[in-house]
Amino acid sequence: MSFKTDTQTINDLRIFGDNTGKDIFGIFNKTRTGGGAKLLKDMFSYPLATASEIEYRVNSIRFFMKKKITFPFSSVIFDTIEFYLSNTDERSRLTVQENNLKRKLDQMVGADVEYQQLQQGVSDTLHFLIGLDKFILNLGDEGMGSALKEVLKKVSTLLNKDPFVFIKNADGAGKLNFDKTVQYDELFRFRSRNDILKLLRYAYEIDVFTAVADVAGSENFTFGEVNQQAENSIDIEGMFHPLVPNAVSNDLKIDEDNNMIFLTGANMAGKSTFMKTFCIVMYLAHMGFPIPVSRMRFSIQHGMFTTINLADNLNMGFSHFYAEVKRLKKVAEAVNNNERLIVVFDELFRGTNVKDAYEATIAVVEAFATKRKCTFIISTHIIEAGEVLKERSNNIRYLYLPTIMNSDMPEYTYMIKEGITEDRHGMMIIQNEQILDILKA
Amino acid sequence: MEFITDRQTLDDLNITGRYKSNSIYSLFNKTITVGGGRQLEQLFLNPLIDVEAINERSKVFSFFGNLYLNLPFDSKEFENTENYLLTPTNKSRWVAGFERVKNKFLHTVVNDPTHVVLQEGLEQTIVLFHRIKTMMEKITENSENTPYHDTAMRWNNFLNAAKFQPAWEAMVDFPLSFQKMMRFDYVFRSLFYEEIRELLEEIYKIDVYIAVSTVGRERGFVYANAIEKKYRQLELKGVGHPGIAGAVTNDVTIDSEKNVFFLTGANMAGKSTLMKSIGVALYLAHMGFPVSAEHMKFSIHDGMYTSINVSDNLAKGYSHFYAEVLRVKDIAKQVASNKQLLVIFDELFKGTNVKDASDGTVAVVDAFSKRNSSYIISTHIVEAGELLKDNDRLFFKYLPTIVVGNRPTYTYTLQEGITDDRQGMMIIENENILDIIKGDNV
Repeated sequence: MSFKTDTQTINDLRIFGDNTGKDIFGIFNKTRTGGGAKLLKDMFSYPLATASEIEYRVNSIRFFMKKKITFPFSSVIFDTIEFYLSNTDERSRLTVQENNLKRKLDQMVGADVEYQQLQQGVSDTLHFLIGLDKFILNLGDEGMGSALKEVLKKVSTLLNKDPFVFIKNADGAGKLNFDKTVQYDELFRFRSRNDILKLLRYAYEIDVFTAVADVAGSENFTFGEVNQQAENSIDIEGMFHPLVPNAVSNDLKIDEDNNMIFLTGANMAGKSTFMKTFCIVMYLAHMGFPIPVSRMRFSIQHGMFTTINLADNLNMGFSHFYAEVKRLKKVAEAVNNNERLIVVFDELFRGTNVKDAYEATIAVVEAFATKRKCTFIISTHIIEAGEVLKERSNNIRYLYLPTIMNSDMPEYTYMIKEGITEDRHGMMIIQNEQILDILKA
Repeated sequence: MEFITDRQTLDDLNITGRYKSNSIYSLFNKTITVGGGRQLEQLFLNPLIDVEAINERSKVFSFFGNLYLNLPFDSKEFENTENYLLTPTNKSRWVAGFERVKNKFLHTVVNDPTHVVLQEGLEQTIVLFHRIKTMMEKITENSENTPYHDTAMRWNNFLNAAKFQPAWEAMVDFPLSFQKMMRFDYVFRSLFYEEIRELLEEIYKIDVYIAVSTVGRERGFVYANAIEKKYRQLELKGVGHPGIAGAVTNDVTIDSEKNVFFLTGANMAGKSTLMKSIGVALYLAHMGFPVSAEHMKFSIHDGMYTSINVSDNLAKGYSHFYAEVLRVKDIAKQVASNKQLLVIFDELFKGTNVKDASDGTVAVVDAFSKRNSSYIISTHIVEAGELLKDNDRLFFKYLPTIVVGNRPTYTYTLQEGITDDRQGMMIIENENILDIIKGDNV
């Protein structure tokens, strides 16, 4: 089973941004190899939904973090190796018979580019194998999770397999002669190509783990703890948005008696950021990655659907409302087909007039709240809806982000508080601007 | 002094926009000449605020509309002539003549093309200008008692001047002899250089007159009657949206007694379209253009501000609401300085809670109503309407929704009063969203 999500969610949370590095992927994208970056991207694209997979990641990264292990290879060799291995053309295969006078002459005048490339590939692959072998031997398994131990054992087994035994005694120093090059080329590129590819993948995983471990240390992230109890519960302390400088931390507790958050607050008070923070934290937790929280315990969720920046390029009130309804329908179907979804709507029904929005918000929030295994955060301007919902449902939590008026200027704490906001700054701003006085004068 | 408006208004009404296929500009942009297109754009950017100028221009449009005229050339022909006429030459007859001899010599010796190009250009120009002369004669004949008469006379006389006669007569024996070519080239490009430039400008204008009046005639638009600002009146009969063929039309009168039109109706009932139709009509009327109505009389307005379809830009957050407040403030200042504006607010203060939106709308509308200017206010907050009921500066109309089965249909025809028709919940119910959530339906 996988963790369900969609493009809207990925975009809302800025998991992958526009290559400016200002996205969640960018925070962690400190891998040294191209293969590592690709693997990292896969991990971001497919969060996990089982405790064992999450724990394997958590334990592995934690182990690399604790041991302060750095990536044991020079990153350039991977490009050479990938290129070298991608050439499986039989005609490029070296044979001993080719070691004739012509080849030696070619080599002397530097005309044998093809051979030189192959030799470089063979040599880098050899260095990679020697390095990997040494790395595994020196790692030691103290404090290592059993799953990681299992994986490393597979690597050792591969390396100790018959054709690779020679690397134990090879030192990789000096230039390879023609006969050895031919022998290794045949082994690396043809006979044991798949094993080499597998070993490369392990190396990339090591790359990702060491990179993520570094990020966890420098960004002050910690790991989430999976809660295996039957009842859904999420308990987060000190979560902050990793892309917001000097972000304020908040706590949030969700359980089946408090599974719907009705979030209010003025426009700039930080509602969207609060919701995004929660979602990013949950997303990273389901990747087994370090998280911007001080402590966290969570039940495994089955997916996440957010609606924060719904495209409204149609530029028409009704069409935007219709886009919202379509989105709502999709999410409603997902809620109906899955347990334990995280559902977030920012400014639900902002595409329509306040009266429609008021009625619709009450109806939809009340209906969603009956799904106690799912987690909802719904933000709205329509604070009046909250008063009605208080009487109809008992599992809604009302939170708001306060605005403090400092003389005429609003200031924001970004600290979540219990209740529905009382802030009605609309009229106040109108009065501050003295529009009515201007007209009376 | 010019007509005051802003980018948002132009965008709301989709007035300008050279490259937008459905803008009001492109509706009228049937000009043939490049210069005509430029002139038309200038007219759109500079509506008039002078009664006489407006009425005079609309009379000119109307005059051209009744002539059923077409320009006697296509855009390619005109471009060739423009190119020929605007190729630089010397003002002095002798220097210019020497240049022509040089061209001819170079053509004979090294096959230089300039001579041939000039000769062809001149011949085409003579033919084309002769057609323009015929057109001018027709315009002059019919322009008696119209504001265009003087202009038509001027160009008619110009083209019938003795200097041009030999050129018209030479048309029968083209190609021109070299001697004649030198002579006519001098007449068109040197002697009457300034006049020809002016005439080209006038042809651009005629291009616009024909294009605009033809669109107006073909679509059954009328020319509005402008009256002085002091009358404070906007009277529209059968107003529709010019971009929508066969649109349902309505009558609207906003005057100095009742200057606030309080409009209610559901989302799809046609509020935006009606508000836009009125805004576009008043804008076009200030340009002297034909408007999509059966009858229109309006006092001069100093400007227009609309906020229709303001999409709530969440990324801007607080600043969006604040920007709206600041815009209202700006409009308030202009109204307070006794400007006569048309102000259209669709769903004022949308990005806030119900109470603030309601209080804000009531307070602002009440304050505006005590001043001059014309207002159209739409809202879904029926309570706001109830609170404003006793204000006799307001009049209340709505666009109805008729529900057949559970599908809403619309008449697009104004009715007296206030409605609280909405279909937000109906759409949600039609999509079965609540049932899907509760799992009763899957």
